[in-house]
Amino acid sequence: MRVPRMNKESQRNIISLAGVLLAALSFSGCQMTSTDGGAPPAAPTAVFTFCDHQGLECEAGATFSAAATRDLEVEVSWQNIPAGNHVQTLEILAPGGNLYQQTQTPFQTPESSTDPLLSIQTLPVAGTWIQQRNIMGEWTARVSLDGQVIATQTVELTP
Amino acid sequence: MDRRGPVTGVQRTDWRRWVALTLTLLMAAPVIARETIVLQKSGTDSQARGADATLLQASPTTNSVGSALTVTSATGASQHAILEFDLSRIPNVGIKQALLTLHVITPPVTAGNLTYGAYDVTNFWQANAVSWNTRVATTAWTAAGGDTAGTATATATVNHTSTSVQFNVTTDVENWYNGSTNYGTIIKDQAANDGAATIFGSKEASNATSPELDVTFVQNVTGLAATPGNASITLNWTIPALIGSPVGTEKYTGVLILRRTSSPVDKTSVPTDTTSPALCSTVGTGTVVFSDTTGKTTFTDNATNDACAAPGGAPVNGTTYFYKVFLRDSSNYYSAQDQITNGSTYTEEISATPAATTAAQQTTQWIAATFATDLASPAVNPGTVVGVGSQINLLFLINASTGVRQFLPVSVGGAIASRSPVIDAASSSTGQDIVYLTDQDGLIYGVNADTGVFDWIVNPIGTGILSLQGGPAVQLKTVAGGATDLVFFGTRNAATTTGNQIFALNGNTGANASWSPITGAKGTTPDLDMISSTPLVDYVNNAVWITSRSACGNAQPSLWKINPSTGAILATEDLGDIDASPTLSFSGDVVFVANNGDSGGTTCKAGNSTIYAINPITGATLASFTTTDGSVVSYPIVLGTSPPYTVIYSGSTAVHALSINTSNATPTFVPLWNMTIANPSAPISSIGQLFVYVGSSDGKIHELALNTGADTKDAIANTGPTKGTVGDPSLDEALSRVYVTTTDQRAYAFTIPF
Repeated sequence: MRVPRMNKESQRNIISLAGVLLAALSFSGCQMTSTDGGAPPAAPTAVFTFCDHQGLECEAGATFSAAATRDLEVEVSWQNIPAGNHVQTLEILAPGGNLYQQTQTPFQTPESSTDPLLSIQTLPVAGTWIQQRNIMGEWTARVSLDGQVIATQTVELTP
Repeated sequence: MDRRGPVTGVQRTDWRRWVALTLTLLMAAPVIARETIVLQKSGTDSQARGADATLLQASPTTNSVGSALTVTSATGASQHAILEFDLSRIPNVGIKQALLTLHVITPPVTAGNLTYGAYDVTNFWQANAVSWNTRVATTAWTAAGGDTAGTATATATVNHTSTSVQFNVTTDVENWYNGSTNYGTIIKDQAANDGAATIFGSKEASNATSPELDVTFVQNVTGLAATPGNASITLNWTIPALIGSPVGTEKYTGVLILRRTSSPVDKTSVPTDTTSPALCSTVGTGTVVFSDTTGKTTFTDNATNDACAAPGGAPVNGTTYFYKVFLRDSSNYYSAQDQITNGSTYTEEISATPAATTAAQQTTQWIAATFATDLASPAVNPGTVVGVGSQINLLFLINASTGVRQFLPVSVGGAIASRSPVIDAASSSTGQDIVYLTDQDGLIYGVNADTGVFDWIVNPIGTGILSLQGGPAVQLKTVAGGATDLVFFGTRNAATTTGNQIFALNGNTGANASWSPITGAKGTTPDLDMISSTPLVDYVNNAVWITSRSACGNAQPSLWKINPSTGAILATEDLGDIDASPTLSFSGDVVFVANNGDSGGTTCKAGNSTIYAINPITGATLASFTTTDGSVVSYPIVLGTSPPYTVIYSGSTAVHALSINTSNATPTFVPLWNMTIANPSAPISSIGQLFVYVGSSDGKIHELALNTGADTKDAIANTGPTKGTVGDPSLDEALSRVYVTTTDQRAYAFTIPF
């Protein structure tokens, strides 16, 4: 799977509107509900994508060689986030479950927006403790919205 | 007739009303805890780390720090008050309640109540730079007006007769003591465009009207120590004196001690306030082995005093036991945070290993929570302070003797993934104890190590965000001369193999040195790939040595020698990708550096390192040695005051020692010994030491004989269910201690030799 790329600054800013392409990929007519039909708003959902960002391409995968990966990008695609200020908390757990890194990212969704949101967080791999100390195995990414865990996904790092 | 039944039914209803009233009163009563402190600028509390400002929508780039904080809701002209308290007076406590009070200088002129919300701020900001649009220098808020949680932590009403307004921010303050970053609070009007404004006193106002935080808490015990014996462990502690005002007649009455085998008691294992878990009961992963309300300050865990069934019971020789000691008051409030969603790690803990012989007994000197992984060698001001970073944006400064953090950890903008050097006042051109750090928010900080106050914060490129991984290195004016200390670091921008940068900053101000930065592939500068290491300051040869990657090949430099005064590139060497930091011999006559041993090709995959001995004057290679144990971890160390030198390095599976006599015309590396250690850290030793210390993924610190490599004795950090990989150790020769951090989110101190 490929996702739309953002410029370097927006990659660091983490949350951005992903645009039409992802919206087209993610939404279907039957998922759209009328706001005046009385149905409760859909709960926020998040889907992870991991990729090794080499050059311009972002090759998604579930297993990566730590020795050959400079940065692992952790992308979170959000849907159904209500309007207002929010905080995304992305926890990266090392094999065994100890917290390796945590980032909090505030963002704002406008009132009228129904577009999905894409968060991109970079996990440095090359030259870090991951590679130097051979912290290999099943890593876990866990994302929360305003303190509530929304999604968890594992990714494997191999030597 | 009462439709609900006979007279007895009416009596029952009255009884229910009384119960309801009583419950209501109880719920409304103040939290009963041991002591309360008022944090407010005063003659005795400068609130040095406190800060506040007004964010002005109508002047969105204006930094408004003054004698007032204003909250306004008006189209295009709203104002938010942003403020942060200095919590340094209570660094080691369990929070029970926190009430934020703002004193009204000018109340709203309109009638009716206004509802204001107190929001937890979710992004780093700097008081002397913050504005409606930006939080640090040119870095914008994600949402103009300040990044906050979506929901107010608390709300309160204010009207034209108000003299103050109070918010219950207990949850936020508990989180700040529990591993969350403390970026303070924003006060906003909950209504849009009501046109009303309230002016409050600020920190710069008279002390009486400056913001006030009333914190109710339970302290931790102090002086916690463990003494192992034969099938016994004795714990000693001190019940602290009050630092605040007692609440009611409550007193500290004793402690509750949880014990766990082989791993620290989990952070979610916390006794519930107002309850008293029974002796031998289980609280999370801990077993209650001691429960006292009589003020005892010692407990010997042995067959006599610990009759609990397993996992309690008398300590078994050779097994490591971890104790978490909760101070309690007479209402059974404990030295932990009330809400334990994320756990309450910060409660005093200690470990020890009993044994039949004294030589085999072991104890930690202290254990300190760091809340996230850090494997960098702790920074040390010998005998004074230990500095530890964290990948949850926190910098801990820990008393080297006691393990108690000097103040609440300093919250910075991004993850800290490297060692942050601590410079003592006598050596620093700032004249104060100072820590320099880089973070993954792209900022560089100078932090007063005694107070946690930021001396300066800079983004050296003004606009944009630097990618930083390696730590800063400091050239001291007291040794090198010059105007001030200089701080060097390089960038780790993985998106380019050519355009990374090397910076030098004025250590007193953070300003770029005249030549800073050096940018790869710019002008005559060769391509510069990413830098993950910490530079090496070479006083003997007036140089700074920097290692970098080299695009997975030998066609561009990976070792750089820079003139610190001019920025001139004095030498470069094409040695292949290098992630490890360089090392200098004691007399400055040889630089040692290890590459990654890349396999080459389009996919850059690390292999077996080659270690180089480099002539520090010319940059030429004196000798090299191809290893067979993967890439060198972090850095090699070099021992000896003159040739022959002993070079010790860690590979993937073992620690290795080499000898090299660089006084020979054609020196060669000669292998001395190898010792198998699981995923070893970088080694550490010093001239005169008999041992080398190295961490491992087995949760231990190994003590290797310098001459033979023999693994003479190990110190156990954490070998149990939450076993952590032990990071690069640091030595404190003033206290004869080794410090490590581990992936189990703690820092440990052990006496050396083991």
